Amino acid sequence: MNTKNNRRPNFPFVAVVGQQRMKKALLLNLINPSIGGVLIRGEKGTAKSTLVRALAELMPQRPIVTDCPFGCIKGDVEHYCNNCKATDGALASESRSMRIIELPINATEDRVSGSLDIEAAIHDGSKQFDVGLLGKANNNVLYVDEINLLEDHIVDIILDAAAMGVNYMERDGVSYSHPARFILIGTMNPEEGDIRPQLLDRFGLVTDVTSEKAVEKRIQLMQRRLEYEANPKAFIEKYADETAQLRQKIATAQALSQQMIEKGNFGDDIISLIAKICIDLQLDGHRGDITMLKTAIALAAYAGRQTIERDDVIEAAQYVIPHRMRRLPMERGEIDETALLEHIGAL
Amino acid sequence: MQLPFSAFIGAEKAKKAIILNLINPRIGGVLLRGETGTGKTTLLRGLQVGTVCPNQIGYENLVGSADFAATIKGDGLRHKGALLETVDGGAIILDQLHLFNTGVLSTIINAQQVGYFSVERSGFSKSVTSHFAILAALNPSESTLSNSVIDDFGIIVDLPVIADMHKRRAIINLALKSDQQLADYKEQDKDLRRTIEQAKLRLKTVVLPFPLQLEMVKILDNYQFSGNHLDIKLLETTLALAAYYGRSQVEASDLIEASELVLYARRQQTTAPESTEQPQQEDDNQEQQQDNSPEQQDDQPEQQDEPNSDSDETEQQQLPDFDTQNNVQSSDQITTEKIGSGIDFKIGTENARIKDQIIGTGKREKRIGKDRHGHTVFYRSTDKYDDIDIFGTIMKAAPHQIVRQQQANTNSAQANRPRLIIKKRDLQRKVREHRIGNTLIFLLDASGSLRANKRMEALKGTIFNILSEAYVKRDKVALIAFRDGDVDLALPVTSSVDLAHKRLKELPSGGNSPIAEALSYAKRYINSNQIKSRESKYVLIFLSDGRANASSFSDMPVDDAKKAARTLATTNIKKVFIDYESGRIKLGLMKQLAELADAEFIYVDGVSEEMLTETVQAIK
Repeated sequence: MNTKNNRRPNFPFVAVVGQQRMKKALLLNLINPSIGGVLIRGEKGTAKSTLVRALAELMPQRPIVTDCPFGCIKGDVEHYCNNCKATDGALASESRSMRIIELPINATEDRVSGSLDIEAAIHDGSKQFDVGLLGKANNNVLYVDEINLLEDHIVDIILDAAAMGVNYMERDGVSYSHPARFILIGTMNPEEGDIRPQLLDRFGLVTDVTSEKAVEKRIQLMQRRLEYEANPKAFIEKYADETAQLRQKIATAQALSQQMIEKGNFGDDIISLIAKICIDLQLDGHRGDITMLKTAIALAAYAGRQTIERDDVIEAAQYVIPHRMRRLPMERGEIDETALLEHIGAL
Repeated sequence: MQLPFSAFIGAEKAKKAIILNLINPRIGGVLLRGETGTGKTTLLRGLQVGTVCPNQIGYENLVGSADFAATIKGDGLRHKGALLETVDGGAIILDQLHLFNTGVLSTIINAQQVGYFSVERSGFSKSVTSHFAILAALNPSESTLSNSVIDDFGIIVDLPVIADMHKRRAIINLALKSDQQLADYKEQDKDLRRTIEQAKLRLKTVVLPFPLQLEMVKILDNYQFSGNHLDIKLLETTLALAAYYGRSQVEASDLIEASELVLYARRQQTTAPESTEQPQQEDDNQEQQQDNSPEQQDDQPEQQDEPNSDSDETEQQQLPDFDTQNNVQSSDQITTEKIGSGIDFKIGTENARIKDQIIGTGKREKRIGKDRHGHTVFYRSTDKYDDIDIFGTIMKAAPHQIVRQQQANTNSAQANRPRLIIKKRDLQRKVREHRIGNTLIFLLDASGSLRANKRMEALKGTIFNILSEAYVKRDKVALIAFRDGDVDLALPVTSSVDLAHKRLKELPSGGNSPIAEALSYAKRYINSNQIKSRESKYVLIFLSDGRANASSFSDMPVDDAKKAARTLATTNIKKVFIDYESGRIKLGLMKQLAELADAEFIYVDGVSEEMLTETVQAIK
């Protein structure tokens, strides 16, 4: 399958003016992919897509098994694909950064879950598996712009894969399964309709974005746009150092977060604060508290700390809670942040 | 015959918007809004640049599909037929924008904004770059498009209704008196295309001096409805204007002209997209007049190119004002405006037309074959030669090719020719995604009595209840409220709880009850929705005590209401009339209306949220 790719280079992540919350939500997922992705809700023109695509420059490097179509991470035996599992002896690997796999709303089932490799079938009658987007997204980011416009049928496939971490494909005389563990990033404009609760529930974090209204920010935004349009390469070069620093910061935080999780001692007051918040706000299930803890750890690690502070939990709550609270019919969809902060503060 | 662009008299703003988008597609498209006969199509196609995109287009043709001729010949899978690819370097023309599928529109608009599109369909995984301008038009009285889609457009222009069609024809006839004149206009068009090409080249060199950057941000800051997407639209329009005028530096006049184009037509739109029925008519509501005035001004072609000549005070106030911030209004006011104004159905002097519709002339029945709508999402085995999915069929046949070729070679003289052998058992039909759900259109009598407010609250609660389950049940809701001579589309068809909360925050009640207008408005509104989304089942839920006491059709409001009800009988809409008439003397008018309209009739003793929600669940 050919890929023509001569688009303009991505606008650098660090050059996007403002939007701190959205940026952080994305970075937290790079620090700990098991946080479970992020849904970004907001109006048009708030740099949602720009930021997601710009993430590519910040992606951490991992040792990827050479030629593995599912990008298995060397050493992560538990999540190897069948090929890697079956291979005796040492697997060769190469250092590759995470990738962003875009799932457009025009996608059909065969491209999402993979299908029979039609060319191979015609030419030599062999039944080979042609890897779909879920296969490519394994150990990477799966990005769906306007996720609320996605066909139900496709949503079901994504949900199944996300729930099990495995994609099962049984069709066209081919039966196949492979690991499909990905960071799900979705963007949507809520005015164009909501997304299904099951899908919403899949997202670890949710953040609402709005336009940057401050005059100085708007000027900055305009100037950077003009500069980028005039010469994208030079513009990216200008931010190269800052980008490299952020990349390093993420890598450090990733290691730190891992250490903290392995060590496993988060402090009793922190754990009970998280429990209190979840009980008090009547969050459904246990996904809320675990995600809140993981997010708080990632926040601490991002700040270069080994210990979680109370503020990390409160900040994490703002990303984790909004879509997990039962929606009361007569209230606005989003929760009032100040009220939430006051509420948590009082606990 | 296609009228040359230059032969079109007036509509200078629309023309300018088209030219600017062709110079600089990053403006984000132009949307012309106007009733039938306002020249939308002529303007869009007149310059003969761009490709017309059919409004029933599906993803296969939009982003491309497999070239099966090549596949069958044995060349392997090839990509072909992506309309979005063929428009690269030019423009895509979207006439009757409201008839496009939401996902398709969103794909086009996103591709335009980022300069590429991705294909993940039937064996293809591809990303294709394409830079193009969007030239679009819609008829606001037919449109049910959401605000956010309309707001995506860089420049929105409202075309005036030419009250006198003869006048319009005269202008055209005059313009085209002789072949010589036609040739002259064509020559002018050619010059214009050349100007556009030159401006395109100049665009890259245009500089925006810092003081003007500051001014631009101040304008945006003063403008109530602006998000960052408008910053970009305004910036790119300003750059395009400078390039158009042959300069390589932006001047203050460009900025003023750009804000006229980008910001001030949008004001009206942001508050209400459905209001443009008769934008140039006088309005007796003072507040509204203030809100509408810039648009009304703009609708007069004579005044279009002279932003500084206006004498109207309100217009002055809304012109870019670099030094004062007087025109910033509080956000509370914005909310009230959003709900209270603009959406009103101006009925006053439009009686003749409405009467036509009450009698039921059944305008515009543009339905396309009912069977095969919805996007193809996959394929399944079939034994019927109907709606065959070629990709799926080839896929199914592929693994058997070697064996079949061998068999064929032994049986036939035509050996060794590369080809694909397909048998009936390979056949796959398309599996299409339908979003079947109910669209509930509430028609609420918000007139008179003391309890109107309570009923309004009960209905709001019901709407939120329905919408909070909407993504499971695929239900959509709209609310039309009428009172005091007005019919308001308070909430256009939506499945968004978010939007409902925003739009229903405040609704007026009180005054008299124009039932005839309300019923005919509801009928038209449902009709225009049905054109766009055929899959949905429509249910009209009408809440009233039936006591019609106002009509602009005649001085017999009850008779008019009955007439209007009768026209509903023949429609294929499900109707439920809920009567809450109270008091000692009951007229039973609602029951009569229900019978005439062939509607289900329910009498309730007081309206409550629980009762309404329950009733609605039962209806479905």
